[in-house]
Amino acid sequence: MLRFLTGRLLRAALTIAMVVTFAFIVLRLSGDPAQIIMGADAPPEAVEAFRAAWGLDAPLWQQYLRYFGAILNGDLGRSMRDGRDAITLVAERIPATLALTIPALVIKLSIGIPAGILAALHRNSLLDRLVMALAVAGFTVPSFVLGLLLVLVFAVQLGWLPSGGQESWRHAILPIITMGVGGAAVLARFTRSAMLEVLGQSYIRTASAKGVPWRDVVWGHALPNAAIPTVTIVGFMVGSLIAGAVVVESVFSWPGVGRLLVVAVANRDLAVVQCILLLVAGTMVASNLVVDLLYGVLDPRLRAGKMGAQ
Amino acid sequence: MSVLLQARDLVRRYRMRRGIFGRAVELRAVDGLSLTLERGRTLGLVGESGCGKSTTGRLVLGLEAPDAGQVQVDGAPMPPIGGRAWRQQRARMQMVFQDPLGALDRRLSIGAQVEEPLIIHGLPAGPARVAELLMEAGLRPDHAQRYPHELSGGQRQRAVLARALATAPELLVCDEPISALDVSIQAQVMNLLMELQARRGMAMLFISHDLRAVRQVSHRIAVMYLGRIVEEGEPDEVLKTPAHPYSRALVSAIPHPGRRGRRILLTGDPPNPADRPSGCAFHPRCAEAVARCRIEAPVLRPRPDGRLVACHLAHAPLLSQVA
Amino acid sequence: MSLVQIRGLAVSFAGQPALRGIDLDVAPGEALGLVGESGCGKSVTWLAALGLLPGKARVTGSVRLGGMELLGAKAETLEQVRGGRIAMIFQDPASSLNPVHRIGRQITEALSLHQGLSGAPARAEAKRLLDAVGMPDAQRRLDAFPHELSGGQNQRVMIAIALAGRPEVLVADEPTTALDVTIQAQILDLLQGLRREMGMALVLITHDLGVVSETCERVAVMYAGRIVEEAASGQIFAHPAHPYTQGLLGALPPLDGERRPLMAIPGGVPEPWAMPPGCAFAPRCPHARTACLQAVPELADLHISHRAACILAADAPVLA
Repeated sequence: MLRFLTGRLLRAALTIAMVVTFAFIVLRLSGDPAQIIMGADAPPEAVEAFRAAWGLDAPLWQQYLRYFGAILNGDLGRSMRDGRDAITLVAERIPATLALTIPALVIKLSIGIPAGILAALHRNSLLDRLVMALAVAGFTVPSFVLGLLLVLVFAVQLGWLPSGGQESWRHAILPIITMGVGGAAVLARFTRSAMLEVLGQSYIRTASAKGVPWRDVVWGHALPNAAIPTVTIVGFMVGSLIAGAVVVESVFSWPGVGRLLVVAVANRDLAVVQCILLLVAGTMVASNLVVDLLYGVLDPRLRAGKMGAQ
Repeated sequence: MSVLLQARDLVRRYRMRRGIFGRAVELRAVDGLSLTLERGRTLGLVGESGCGKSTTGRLVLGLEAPDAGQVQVDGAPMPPIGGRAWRQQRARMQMVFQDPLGALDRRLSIGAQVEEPLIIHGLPAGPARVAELLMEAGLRPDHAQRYPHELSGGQRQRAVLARALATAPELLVCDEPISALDVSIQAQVMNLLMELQARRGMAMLFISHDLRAVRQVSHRIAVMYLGRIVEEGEPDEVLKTPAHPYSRALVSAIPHPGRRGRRILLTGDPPNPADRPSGCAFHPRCAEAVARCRIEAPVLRPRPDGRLVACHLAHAPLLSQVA
Repeated sequence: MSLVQIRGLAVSFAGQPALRGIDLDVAPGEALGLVGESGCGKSVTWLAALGLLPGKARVTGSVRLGGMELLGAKAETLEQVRGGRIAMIFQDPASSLNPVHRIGRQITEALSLHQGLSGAPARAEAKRLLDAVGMPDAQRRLDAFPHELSGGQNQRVMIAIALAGRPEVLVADEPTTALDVTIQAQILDLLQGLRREMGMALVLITHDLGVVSETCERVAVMYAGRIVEEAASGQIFAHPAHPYTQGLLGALPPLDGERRPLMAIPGGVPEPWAMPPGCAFAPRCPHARTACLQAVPELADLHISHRAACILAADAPVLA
């Protein structure tokens, strides 16, 4: 068990290191931050001074080592735009993002999973086909299209809800719905196939043959087994609680981490981008680890090998 | 009868881990096995699950390299796997498997799959040759255009046989070739195998858990238990007077129309190859085990009547009480 | 007075017939063997009787259990019958047990449904059942998961679950096909013993004639959705009347005597959509006449309690 955990933690650290390195390379190669931040018409001496102040004139590998060393010391750098600590900037925005992603996750789980289960239980019926059609629509329509459509209908035409900003709780409704719909659709489809797979197994037939009422067969025998693959997808969704709102926050001008990321990339604001990436990678990796441990809890076959023959 | 293939003291080990959190264990699938395959004759290899018979089949064909011991074909050692010599040798030895659907490529027509070995080894190919092979296996030439899922289980196994015979192999290893088929189809395939052997003079290694089938097609039987051969001899003799206690239990377990006699029931389950008992691997389930059986593993040795047995008691029955 | 009476049971899936009208009786405490190859309908018969077929199956006919009609019965009635009066065990024990439930729970579930036991008394009874089916170290095994046990042990668990409801009939669908021969012997022996002890009827479904001969008093042979021969097991093996039964017996490699090519029935079982007119076996039958293709032969009495669906057998019984 200990060996398993240390192995996973080492792999997690490696993943994060790779993500950070990748971000460093891409951002540095794609444009000069000094030029972008100072503006196109800034005098060359000012740009040079900016570069010197931020250490951008040193060779690339030196910058990388300096950066990596700083991270290991807990220093994630400062925003090149306003000079504040990257960590503080990012941390300020986290509550705003969570205010969207957590309710959206609740919607995804509470609509997606039951819809998928119902569809599986009534396979090939009208209900099944309807749910699946809605699901396909839900995950094929890109979130920005859906967001804009909702804005068009509910904000512009009907005027019921505001179209952007973060002033009141009403401002959160459309973004939350936009995010929730796509995830619910994916979850519905996935849960349906997990359930169908389980319902086709021999042990379900055994349970019925024992005289177990159908409701108990579904709840006690099928669902616990269908939960195992479903946990994977839910794990991904939890892992992207921070990162998943980039597009929606942009469409709805919602001041969260996602929007901050978009702005920082446009400005080549390295410290902020890397800080956010670190955060996202960390959340994803942590969530995967939890999912792996959950597998062990949900599926006894993964806990230890066979003790009997064959 | 000349010897085509000789396997000596084969050992094959696997390392596996018990679950995500468990420790590593070593599994000896084959543990010191020797056998001889004669031209034009069939050796039947019998045993239950976990005894290592499938692994033996792969070792004999050279599909896996043994961790110890050697396989010699026509006196020459088996060439290293993947090399040119080894690939050329594939034309001389082929395998037939338990699941015919899994052994065939779903996307290729039967004809294409039967023709493939001919093309690979540079032998004369073409629809006429394919039709010949199909008919020899009991199919019709028009089956060449069909796909595996369009055929029945028995027809698929015939297609697998046709493909295996394409290069006129001298050795055919059949690993449970009939257990997935219906009873009446099993009979058809057994008849076909015997016919093909008579016509082509192939040696066969017939691996199965079904003693009846093995008796029907084999000239010689070897009984395997936990990676070793425990008894070897003439099929009728082994079936009538099995010398090893395991063989006795196996023979008495065969369901038999009209048999009302007492049956030897083994206690417990077939053992786990990763948890090998000390001494004789069979002793925990053996009704006749004595102290020596727990300590010393018996060697496969010939009896005066020619039967090979690996049992301390089988060689000196009068002394068994003294051990 | 039979315990189970099946009359004219027919099942079809999307228009394809899987069972084409069978009549079968099971007497209390009797051991009946149901033999046939794939697609003959031997499992479908009992799945239909217990209402375990998927919704799109069309089932007609009658299945009476001690006078009560099972087909079309209410869900609550069927749930009580399943496990409580007719129990069924299946072919692959490893996949027939729920992998995430412990063994003890799977047994006590049946005990709670059919004997109203729960808590400590249920666990005690579960242990007793495991002992009765010959499971070593029963107390510890109650907390084991199915993947921790071998195939033979899992089958014993299935049998224990089946016995928990004290059924009057145990239907065993290919219970030993996936098991090694020595374990098969143990399981069959166990079933025999339990049957005698509990006075339970046993319906053994298998393709292996040898298994049936040792365990069953009466045998029914099925082909392409119909029963083609039915007799006491000694009779079937000594004097098989239907050419298919003869073919099945001839296909068994003998354990002694001269080694000869086996008497193999040519061809294969017809697909449900391509049923020949008249007798379904006629295309493969060495004795077929034109009359065989005209009408489906009825099960006719040949001797006392020996019936066969073959016009030739009825006229002049063909001895093996």
